[in-house]
Amino acid sequence: MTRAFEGAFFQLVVGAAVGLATITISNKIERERARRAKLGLRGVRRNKIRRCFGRKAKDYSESPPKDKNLLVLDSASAVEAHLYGTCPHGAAAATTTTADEAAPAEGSEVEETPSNMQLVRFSKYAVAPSVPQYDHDTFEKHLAHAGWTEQETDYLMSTYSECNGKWPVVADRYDYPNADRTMEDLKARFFGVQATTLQLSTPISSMTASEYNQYEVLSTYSGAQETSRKKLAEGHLYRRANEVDEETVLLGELQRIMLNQATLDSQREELRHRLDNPSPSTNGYSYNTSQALTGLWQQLLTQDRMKKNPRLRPTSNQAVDGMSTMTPTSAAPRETPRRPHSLASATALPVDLSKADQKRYGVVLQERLPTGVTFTSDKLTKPRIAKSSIQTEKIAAILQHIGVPEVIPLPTPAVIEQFESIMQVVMTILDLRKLGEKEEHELRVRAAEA
Amino acid sequence: MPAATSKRVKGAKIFRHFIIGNEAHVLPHPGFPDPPPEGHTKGWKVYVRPLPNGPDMTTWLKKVQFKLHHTYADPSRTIEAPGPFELSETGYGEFGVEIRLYFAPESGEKAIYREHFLQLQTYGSDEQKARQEKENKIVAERLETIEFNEPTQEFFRTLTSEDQFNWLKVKKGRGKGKKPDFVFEGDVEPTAQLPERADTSGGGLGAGGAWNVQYEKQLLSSLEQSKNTLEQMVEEEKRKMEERRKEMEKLGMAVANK
Repeated sequence: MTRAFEGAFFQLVVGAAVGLATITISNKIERERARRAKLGLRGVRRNKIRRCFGRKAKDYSESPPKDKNLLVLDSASAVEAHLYGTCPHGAAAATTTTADEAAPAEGSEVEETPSNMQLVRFSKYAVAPSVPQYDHDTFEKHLAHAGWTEQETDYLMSTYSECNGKWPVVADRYDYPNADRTMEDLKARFFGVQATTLQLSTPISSMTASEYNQYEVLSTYSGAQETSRKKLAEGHLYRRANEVDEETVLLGELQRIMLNQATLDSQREELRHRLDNPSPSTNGYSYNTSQALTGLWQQLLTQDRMKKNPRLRPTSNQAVDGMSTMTPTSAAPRETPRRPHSLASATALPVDLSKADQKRYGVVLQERLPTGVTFTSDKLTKPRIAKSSIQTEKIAAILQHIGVPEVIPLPTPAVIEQFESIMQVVMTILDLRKLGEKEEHELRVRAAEA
Repeated sequence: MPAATSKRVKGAKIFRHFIIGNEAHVLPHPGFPDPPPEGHTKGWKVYVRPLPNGPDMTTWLKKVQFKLHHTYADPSRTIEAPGPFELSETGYGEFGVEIRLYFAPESGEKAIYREHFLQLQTYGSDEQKARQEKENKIVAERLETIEFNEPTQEFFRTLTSEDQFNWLKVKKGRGKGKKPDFVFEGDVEPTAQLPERADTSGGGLGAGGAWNVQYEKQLLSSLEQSKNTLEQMVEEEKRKMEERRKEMEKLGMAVANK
């Protein structure tokens, strides 16, 4: 049963192959090309098989074409066969069958000439590392560095491109007189130069997202951090077994502490709450005279009156109680509780929201809010407009000069803060200039006098 | 009842990001009348949109009125929630579109005007211009952040309800008579905050994906650069001032010696 099924399946496959072949070889030229490709293919396959088994295959009458490129390819596939090792008998046999039966069909797929194939296959490895380009003037202007001369920087660039951008090799080959550089030093310098040239070719404001990402990575490289990271990794690699155990124990301990942290914190908070008494501005000994005690009583009494349900009942003695119309400010002001009221607890939200939820719904707790609806973008436009139109023009001119766009399209708090600090400096400059004009005028007057 | 609703939540504000902008195409372009009205060379669409992964806009925005140039027939066009708050027109000239935003009644806030200057010409760097020309699509938009300071209690509740994210979710029925379940199936949990990085699923300008924290960083460092230039200018002014002071002294001496 199975055998019969197999037989049928085989017939089907052969039928399909033949059908495909008929379609493919409908054109005469096509056919010729297919035949040639087939020959090449056969040559390769045969050689491969021969190398694998160390015997000559006899079943092909035509000799393989002696093309130079093909030979390269040939040896490459031999290496491949060698690399992928065992070269099982079955696989080889399978190769032969495909070559025999499906070759006409395959011919159309393998239309590439062997040399093309090789180019396509290996060209992706022929990559030259990109090295930042700069000339002498640019170096003087932007790339000057206390620890690096221009010659040495040039040397670094040439070594980098020579070593194809492989940093371990660069660090190994790097041999500049009187310079002892670690790999991190070299990297820091190289990335610094690269970032600067990148920024010079495209200013930050017109970089695309990917360019900016690259720029950010390059410009934030920190050699010291990298060294410590490597040191840590190395330490981690060479730990002893007992150290590993100790670490596990410590981590467990830490986890336990972190778990209990929340309860501990809440307990402490409660305790602090209990301990939170109005602290006297002086120590208790200052109340040892009757006069001071009367003062204290009056003070407490006035405070108590401010509350909704007073607990202290005034004595009938006016002299002791003080004037009932006494304003609370005339009494010594009670020191405010030391515990800072967190804003969250002070603001009673109608819905109980966690911190994460507040963030998710864009809720911000803040004191002293303006009323109604505001737009944050107004904070980026309103400061530009001064009382006089001349002043407004001056501000606009300065902003344009330093490259602040007329419309800043993203009014987030960070951007607003930055913009406000810029505006502050702009105002300083305007003041300085005004002062300058005045002084110039005075100078001219004096010069005329002199 | 009115007393309860008008009570405001002290010390809290709620912000919402949204986009105001316009698209413009050179006619003829699909979606616009062909042939266009006489003299009209551009087709454009002005819009007020939410961020792709943000809360539903219609929670607070109930109506948008676009006030066009007075030469248009019927210049003020109103679009009610649920929107989309978009308006397509054809024309030839640029002008400022007055956009009036009407808020939810429970907010107790009056309608507010924002202006958007219609951008029909290509703009930006030469590359940007070339791309806009090639794609025949000009997008000019900006992010706006509206802040509801001390919202009313009721408004606060609607602005902090999970329902606002329902428009991003898939409705899963739970049989007859039961409330449908809303299940979120995206990758990034929706939030009112600015997204961390660009929306890769076809974001970019127009779709709102261009607005993210990464872009913010880029903008910040470009502003930082501007500030450095500015600081140099201040140094320069100070140096000049010092020079003038010396000059003044010299002259003073000269006058005194005479």
